[in-house]
Amino acid sequence: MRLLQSILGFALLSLVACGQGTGTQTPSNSDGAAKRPLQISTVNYPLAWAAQQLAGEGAEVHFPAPADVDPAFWQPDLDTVAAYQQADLIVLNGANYARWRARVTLPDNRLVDTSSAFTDQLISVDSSPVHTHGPDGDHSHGELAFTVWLDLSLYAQQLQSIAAALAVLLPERARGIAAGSERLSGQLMAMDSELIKLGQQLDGEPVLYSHPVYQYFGRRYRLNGRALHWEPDQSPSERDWSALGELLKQHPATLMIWEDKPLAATRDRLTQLGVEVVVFRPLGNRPPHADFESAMSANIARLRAAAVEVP
Amino acid sequence: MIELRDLEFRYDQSTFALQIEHLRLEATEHVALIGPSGCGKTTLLNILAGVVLPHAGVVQVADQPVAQLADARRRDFRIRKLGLVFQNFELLDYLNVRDNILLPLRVGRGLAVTAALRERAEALASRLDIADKLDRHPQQLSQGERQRVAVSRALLLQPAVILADEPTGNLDPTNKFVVLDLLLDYAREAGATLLTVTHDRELLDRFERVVDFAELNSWRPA
Amino acid sequence: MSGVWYLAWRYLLWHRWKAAILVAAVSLVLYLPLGLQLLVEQTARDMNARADATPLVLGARGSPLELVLNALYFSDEQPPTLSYAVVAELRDSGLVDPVPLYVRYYSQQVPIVGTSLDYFGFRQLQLASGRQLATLGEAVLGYRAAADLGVGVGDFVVSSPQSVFDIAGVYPLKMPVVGILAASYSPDDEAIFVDLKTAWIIEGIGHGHQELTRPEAASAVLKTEDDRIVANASLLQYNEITAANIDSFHFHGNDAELPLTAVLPVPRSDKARVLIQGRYQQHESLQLLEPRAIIDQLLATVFAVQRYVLVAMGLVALATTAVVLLVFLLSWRARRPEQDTLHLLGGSQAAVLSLMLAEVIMVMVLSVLLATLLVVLTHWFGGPLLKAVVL
Repeated sequence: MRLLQSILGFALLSLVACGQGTGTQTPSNSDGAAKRPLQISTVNYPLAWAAQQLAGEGAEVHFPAPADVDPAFWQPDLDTVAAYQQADLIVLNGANYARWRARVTLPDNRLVDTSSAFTDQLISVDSSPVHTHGPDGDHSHGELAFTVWLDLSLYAQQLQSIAAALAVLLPERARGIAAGSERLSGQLMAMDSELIKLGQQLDGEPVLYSHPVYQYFGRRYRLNGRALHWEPDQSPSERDWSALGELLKQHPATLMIWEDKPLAATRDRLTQLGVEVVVFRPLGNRPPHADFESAMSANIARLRAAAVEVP
Repeated sequence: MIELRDLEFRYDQSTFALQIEHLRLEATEHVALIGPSGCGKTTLLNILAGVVLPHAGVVQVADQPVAQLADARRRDFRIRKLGLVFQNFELLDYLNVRDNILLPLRVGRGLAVTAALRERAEALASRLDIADKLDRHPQQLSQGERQRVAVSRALLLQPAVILADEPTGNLDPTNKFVVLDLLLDYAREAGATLLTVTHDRELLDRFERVVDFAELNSWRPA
Repeated sequence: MSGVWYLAWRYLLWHRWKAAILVAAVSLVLYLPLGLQLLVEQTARDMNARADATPLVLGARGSPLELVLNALYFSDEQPPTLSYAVVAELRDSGLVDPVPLYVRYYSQQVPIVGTSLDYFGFRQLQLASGRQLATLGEAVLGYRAAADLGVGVGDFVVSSPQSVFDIAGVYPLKMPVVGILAASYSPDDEAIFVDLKTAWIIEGIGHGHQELTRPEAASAVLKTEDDRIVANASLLQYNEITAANIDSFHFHGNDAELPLTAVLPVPRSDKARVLIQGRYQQHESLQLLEPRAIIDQLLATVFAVQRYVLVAMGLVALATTAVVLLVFLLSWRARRPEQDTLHLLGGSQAAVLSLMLAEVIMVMVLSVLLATLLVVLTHWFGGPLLKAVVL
């Protein structure tokens, strides 16, 4: 009798065990952490500035590239990539800016490509040779010009992309964001108008660029520019000077637009060649002791002063 | 003690019958009942053991009127008071020697395998020289060893009456005397009545009295 | 132990093979219908849970079942592909957050799921060790996949060619394992997750190779015509993405035309769900499905088959019961001498009958215990077996 009881008890226990746990588990909900400010990460300074202007206190904007590098060519380390992955909104420039973007994994639904509204206006700067291998035919690993924000009308569109994304994420601030977008767009378009006038003033006069980063700037403001590959902090070689000399014969520029102040010797020698130097900072990274608006205003002021001097 | 008076028994489908006017064995008597095979000796033992009931007569075994007991009491009586030894040993193949000796305890009402009875089983096995075979099964024993197991089983509950039906019938000449002497020794020591059915005349000298079944059964075929 | 129980137990032990066969037969009769029921219910529960957790699936027109099984359970059915452009279209609608999937390749029969980081948030998958995907070519594994492949963080997995004879096809891609996911008790535990671009590289749509203008690639240049360079077959294509060669990886053609096997549109609201379903209801080349409806159809078939199988099992059970009873009866007849012995020794008819019943009861109890054990084992281990068969 006792044995029978033991057997029945074991059988019952086993049946109860059958009912425990189905092997499926409801994933635990994410932490109900206190609401933190929206985390926004950007790939360059103009976008960081625009995002901060629009989001205000509602967000923390991160632009992790070091101050002394060109963000277009900067490579974030794994920790920085992880930080980007944690952002609520990742603001991209578009036009294949931030080459590291192609090699990393980011959450697509939290990306905003601020150039997506004007991809038809992007400028191709095909630098690599066309080649063929396999059945797919000719192709090249070509490039797009990426300093779209130097065309302030395109920068205004980038700003509007950011505003639209923020309005979805911060619906309680939508009105303020829209108002801020309108205000900032107005400011940008005012500067755009000034630059258009300067372009008209220059009236197709040949100009030189120290680096090929002024494609959108030149197109928008109708500058007749040709680009060199001269670094502000390096002395050009004699071959460079010789090439410049040849170029000036076909393209007699009297103005050279630099990303940053060139060496004094370079400036002097250019002056001897009749080429005046004007610094127009692209502002891809954060300017020292200034913000985008004040730095761009300073750019415009310098260009205006230089344009006056152009015969 | 065993006493029969005016016993009558007949199998339904047979012309064979038992008619015994009187038979008495005293309490400490050791008697051999001799007769040819098929003459009814086993039937008589079955009647004494209460396995079958006579049609008439008095059957008194160990002071019990066996034929008048109800079925359950007859069985109890058979287990507790009688020691039965069979020609074919009647061991169960799936039990080892120890369990075969203890078998009556497992089928009897109100009986249980106690530590004391286990010890007694082992003592009997030791006395009968099969102590080293307690964990073996009958198939692993010789004929003589098997009969000694059967004898141990019969003596486990210290019966007052031992009924042995051809206990040496399947044994070789050496073993038959060994087994018979074991039975006789126990009966003497315990003061038990021993009735042994046999057709082997070589064994008769061992007994105090020999009863010829032909003289005992007064029935004659027509 | 009571006398007859002891004798019964001893009898069964002595005839252990006969007893084992009887116990096995009766256990199977008891277990099979229960086990089948349990397996089917478990599988249905798991499949429904997965389907319920996936509101919608978008794919190219074709077999709805194939699409759902591939997208939710990473089965080896290959639905027709749709283009990546659909993802932007869905995102631009403002109604859903699309999660792309490209499930086509395997590493030793473990499915490789090309997707975006959004997938992990959608499925609420957590990391148990290592880190999340960060760069091209990396892999994050479900915990069962890692165990099956015997790899951990820091090891590598290699994609398998689609067929043994795929000589001119895709090269195996060697991928470092950077993270292992915690158990989610879903098909995600048995998958390898890679960035969508990595999956396309496995396909061969994207690749990295030597820079043809560099001196070390000179032997790979077949000819140069003006500004065109034609490479020969010796051009080294990389089958592992490293820090040294990652920048050489590129895709040909328009990104929008790159293939997907499915998209999981995650609606932002119930209204958004209805609206997006309305948009794709009559689409010419795409189908938007509710996975639960498809799985319900599949399970309805499974349940129908199960009913037939249970009827068949019932008949077998009857036959087995008859045979078992016959065995007991024949055995009891053959044990007549034993019954006579017990009777002679003083055992009652009831005791003898009890002995027979005790043996039957013991066999039944052992069978019930064995069947119970099998049911418990089925509960814990049987699900994956049937899923492997169904999927």
